[in-house]
Amino acid sequence: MLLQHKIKILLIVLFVFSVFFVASLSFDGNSITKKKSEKLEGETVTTSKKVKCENYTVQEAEDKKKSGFDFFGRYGTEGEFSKNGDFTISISPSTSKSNNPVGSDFELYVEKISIVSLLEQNDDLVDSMEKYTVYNSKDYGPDDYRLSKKKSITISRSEVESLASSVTSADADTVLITLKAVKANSDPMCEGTVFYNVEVGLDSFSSAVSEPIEGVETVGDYYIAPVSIDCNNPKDDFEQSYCVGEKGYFNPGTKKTVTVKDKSSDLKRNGGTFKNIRYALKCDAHSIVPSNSSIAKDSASESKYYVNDEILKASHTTSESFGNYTYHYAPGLPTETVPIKVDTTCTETLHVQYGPPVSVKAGICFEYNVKVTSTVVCKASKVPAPKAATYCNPIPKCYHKTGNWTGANAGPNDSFDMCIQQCDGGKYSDYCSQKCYSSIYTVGEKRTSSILDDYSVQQIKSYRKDKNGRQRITTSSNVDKANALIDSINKCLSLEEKSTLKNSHYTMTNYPNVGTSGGINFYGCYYWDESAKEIKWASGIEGNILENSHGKVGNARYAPGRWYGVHRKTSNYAGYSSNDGFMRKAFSSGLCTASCRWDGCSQTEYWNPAQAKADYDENMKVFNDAKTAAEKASTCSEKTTEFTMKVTEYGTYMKSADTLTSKPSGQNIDEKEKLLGKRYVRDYSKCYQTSDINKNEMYQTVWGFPGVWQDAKSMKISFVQVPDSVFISNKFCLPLDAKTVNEKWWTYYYTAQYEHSTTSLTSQTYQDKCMKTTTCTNWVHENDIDWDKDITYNITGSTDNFGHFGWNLDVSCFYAYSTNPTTGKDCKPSIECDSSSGYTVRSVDLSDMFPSPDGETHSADTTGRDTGFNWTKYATNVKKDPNYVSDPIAYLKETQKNEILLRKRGKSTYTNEAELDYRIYLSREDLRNIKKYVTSDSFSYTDYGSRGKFIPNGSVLSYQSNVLRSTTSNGLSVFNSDNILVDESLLKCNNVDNGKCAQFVSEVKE
Amino acid sequence: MLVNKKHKELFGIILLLFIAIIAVLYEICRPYYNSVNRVSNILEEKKKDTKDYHTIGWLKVQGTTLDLPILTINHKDPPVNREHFSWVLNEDDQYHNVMNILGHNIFNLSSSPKLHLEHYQRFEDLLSFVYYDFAKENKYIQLTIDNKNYIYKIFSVGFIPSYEVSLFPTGEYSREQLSKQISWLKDISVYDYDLDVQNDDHIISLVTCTRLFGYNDMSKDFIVSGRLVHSGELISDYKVTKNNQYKEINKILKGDGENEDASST
Repeated sequence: MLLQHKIKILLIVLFVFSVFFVASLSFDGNSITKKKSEKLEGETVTTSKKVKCENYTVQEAEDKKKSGFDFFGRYGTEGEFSKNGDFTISISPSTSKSNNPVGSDFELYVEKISIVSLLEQNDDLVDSMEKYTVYNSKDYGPDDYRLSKKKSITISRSEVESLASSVTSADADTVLITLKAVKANSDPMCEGTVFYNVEVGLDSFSSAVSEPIEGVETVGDYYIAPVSIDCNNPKDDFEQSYCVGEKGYFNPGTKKTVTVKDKSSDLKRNGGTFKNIRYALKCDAHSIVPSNSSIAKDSASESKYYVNDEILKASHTTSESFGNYTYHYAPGLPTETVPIKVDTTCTETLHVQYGPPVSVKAGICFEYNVKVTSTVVCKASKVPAPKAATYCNPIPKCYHKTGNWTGANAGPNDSFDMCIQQCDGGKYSDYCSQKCYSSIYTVGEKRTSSILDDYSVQQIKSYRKDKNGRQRITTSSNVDKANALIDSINKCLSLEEKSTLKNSHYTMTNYPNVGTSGGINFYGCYYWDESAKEIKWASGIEGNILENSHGKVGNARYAPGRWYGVHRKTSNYAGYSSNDGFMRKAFSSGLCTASCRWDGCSQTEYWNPAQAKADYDENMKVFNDAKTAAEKASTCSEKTTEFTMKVTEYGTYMKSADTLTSKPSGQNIDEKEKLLGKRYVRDYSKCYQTSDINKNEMYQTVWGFPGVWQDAKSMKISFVQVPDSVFISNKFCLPLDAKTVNEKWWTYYYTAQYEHSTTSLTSQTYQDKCMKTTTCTNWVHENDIDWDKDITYNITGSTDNFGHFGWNLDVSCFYAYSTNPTTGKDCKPSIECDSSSGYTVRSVDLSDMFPSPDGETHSADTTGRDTGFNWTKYATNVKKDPNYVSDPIAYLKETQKNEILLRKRGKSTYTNEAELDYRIYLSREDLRNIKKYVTSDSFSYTDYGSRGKFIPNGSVLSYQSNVLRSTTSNGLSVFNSDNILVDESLLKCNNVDNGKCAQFVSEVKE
Repeated sequence: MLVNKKHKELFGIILLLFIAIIAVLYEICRPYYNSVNRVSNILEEKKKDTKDYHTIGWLKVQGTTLDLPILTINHKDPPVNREHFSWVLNEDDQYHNVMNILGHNIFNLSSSPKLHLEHYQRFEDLLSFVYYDFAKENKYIQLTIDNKNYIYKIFSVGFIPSYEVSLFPTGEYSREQLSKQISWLKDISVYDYDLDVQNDDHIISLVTCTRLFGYNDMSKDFIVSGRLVHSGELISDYKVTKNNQYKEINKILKGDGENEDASST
């Protein structure tokens, strides 16, 4: 029995335990229903890492690689993280003609993004196969992320994170971005479709930090995104500001796609200014722009020169307070002060345009210009108007329907309560109750005055003295507060007296004998009693004696609350108004003593019309002042902007000793002439009001080198004025002893010039300009240059504090100088195609020494085409040697003119003994040799390049004529040199440094 | 001898039993409240009447010092400094189905009312009913008017806005007015009385001033109401319990709720 009992108990206990166990498990869902770990099983795929060109065999690719050819480099693929983890890919497909260039129209798109881990890696080979495990991937269409030379794409961090979020394997560490050509066969070196992968570490998307550009602060985020702008319908402030700035440069009706960098976050972080933030812009080193594309003053030429283009924008909102509105809602209520806040949002679009790199030679002068245009659109939010002068009339609310003549007040009076308050702070202790009773309630009226005596200070201050008695204003024991309230009420009443309400009145129809005919003026002020927490009424004037059918009821000592007058209640509310403003019905034995209060108005409304109007009038003055001030805030501001253009090796130039101060009103841009001689700033950074409706701000400047001083004879260059020097404005001239720099690029430039020349080699224009020589072998192509290391950026144009937000820009570019031959027998036709880069010797028609290409007849005073330096006014020298005056313009005029008109000069030059430097006697044999020489293929009349040699000798350049010095095939001179007579006495030294003429003469004789 | 002893014991037991029964019956049957004769007091008080003050009856409240004349007053403001009186809201000196009687409270206004102090000459002691223990023990009001005693059983104790009193009808209440008044008095009560109150019962209400809710809340009156004992009804004890509305009162009495801003407008 006992055993059975024990077993039963045990079974029960086990059962209970099981129940609890199951129950506990059912509350812990995780332990029972826990899902199997959702590990994505990776799919193993093989794909190519490098470029796949479908028709190359692996062997061919390997061969190519061995020869040093970087296939992958053909696409110039680069990737960069921004600070927020977005990844931007750009390409620069090779355009080098040396190896079947890809072409600048080559386009790729992102075909797929995969989250992978790398299983097997091969060497860098074209068409090599890689093995990955793919955990997740997403396909894209050709228009999702499309890459071209001009357009980069940004893959957002969130896109990658969303792909990676479902991947739980810790092995997944790589993001594989597969790029595929839009068109097949778009790379001549690959048949089929190009595609390749870009690998990026997955971690990089979460912790990417953009590398700082050395020497320049770059803070904040920016985006690069193409924006299509239609200036007929600018969508936002940026587009509006851009269109205003570009007006005149492109048809506003044209849609233009621009790429914009938004620097708003930098601005915001820096408190609304770009102070201490500089932006560095670099010219495109790949640009090849012929150096004869000089800066012209029209948009067509400018657009050819400004091959570098950046658009920066920034928006910033500032909030400014322009005074306060004040609302005195009612006496006793706190005065509300509301600041008038106006937000102004300014959007500035900065369009920075700058020139290409320059290839120069010693002694050559060149321009480099930067143009910055800023347009600003500022929009201010409306100044909020003050609250309207509306008011609320508190409504009487009484709790009595029929009227009970006796008062039901079964308690002490106010005096007793006040006494208690003073005695024990309102506790009604027995002691104080007794004391106050004794002092306040005695038999007879005479003790009443002692109420005033004992608490006179307290009570009087709580009363306002009316004309005929006193009105209890507040039960507050705070004397200062009570005083302030009474002052405030009196002020309100004084306003009411002056208000228009004085002329309004109502008639109490049951009371015909109301004094003046028609009605009575009643007024007063509603106020707030803080101690009683009630709206109360302070009567302003004494009313008249009122009567009803029973005779005189009593004196209407106080005006009833305004509500009654406004609502013109008649018999229902006719009656006697007590000091609380309520109209009480009169009965035979007295007035209704119902409990009443004023209600229905909030503490942020006016309760008295005169005060509402007075505040409104005052606030409208503040409003108008605020509007005026706010409008001023969004117009042009004064600026001191600095401009610098320097060449690194030659120091800083044009620094801010003479910086310009802009003024709010714009100036006529033709005033640029004032600036020559000191600095070259075409337009200076002034603030213009644009002509559009909103009259937005605009700043515009073009600046470049101020100029150099050049010695008229020796052509030596200095950066300060020296005697007998000529100022060459707007240019920097490379000194004759300049060091070479960027030589590789220099050669690349001339290689490209030749290869990309659109001028046919056989065209007359080309022939006119260039001289033929043999093939040059020292070509440099795009792939031959290390674009990071081989370029020294030695030109910097800077501006400080430009535009509305005070942008600081450093525009870097470079010039290249080399002494490598570009002419002569080792090179292809000379590419000295502009007159400033070389020397040309021609036979000329003395009546038209420099004819224009179109053959127009010119007057004797001018030249049809540009001349070399030595025929310009800059070679004028009238001081140095009175016997040798260099005045090419005068000589040119005289020669051409006289040839035409007077036949005195011109060809007479050749017969004037004083003019001769050489005299050559030609024998018959000489003539025969000359004829043979000039008719040979190696020599032609228009073959300027190979007529002679220019030999520099210090600061002197000597010219040796091939005709005079050339030899025949048997080594004999064309001329019998014995027949060359150089009359030393006739020999003069042209443009030679002092003291070197004799040396020159001896060289000539050799 | 043995028989006698046994008889004695038996007799003793029966006697004790009898006494016990009688005692119990006595306790059950004896009146909870004994009415007193105040007609002579009224006559005495009438000698002091003036044109403004007219004695019409007498009021006595069980357990309190309220044992004073009821007047009609031709005066807007019954004087605080006159002791030992109450006044009726009616204009006449008649008995009506609703008798609303007011009295001043000067010395017992605090948040912790005292009981039965000697100088309580007015309605100060009415505040005793704010204590549950007192309310448990005292449940009857006596009105003497027209040479008759009217005994009322208390069915409501509570606090009302002062202005409500000015809304009380005067004279004989109509059926509707009476029903509304009774309903309202039940609603405002802080106690639940185990008492049958019909909508047509005659009632009495005693009203006085209080500052129980604090100095700044002068808008409340204290009201104790009773209904006339029915014909044949015993003057006995009946149950009373605190209801939810008593919680706030309890807090104040304990000192937790003492708050000068306690009133809600």
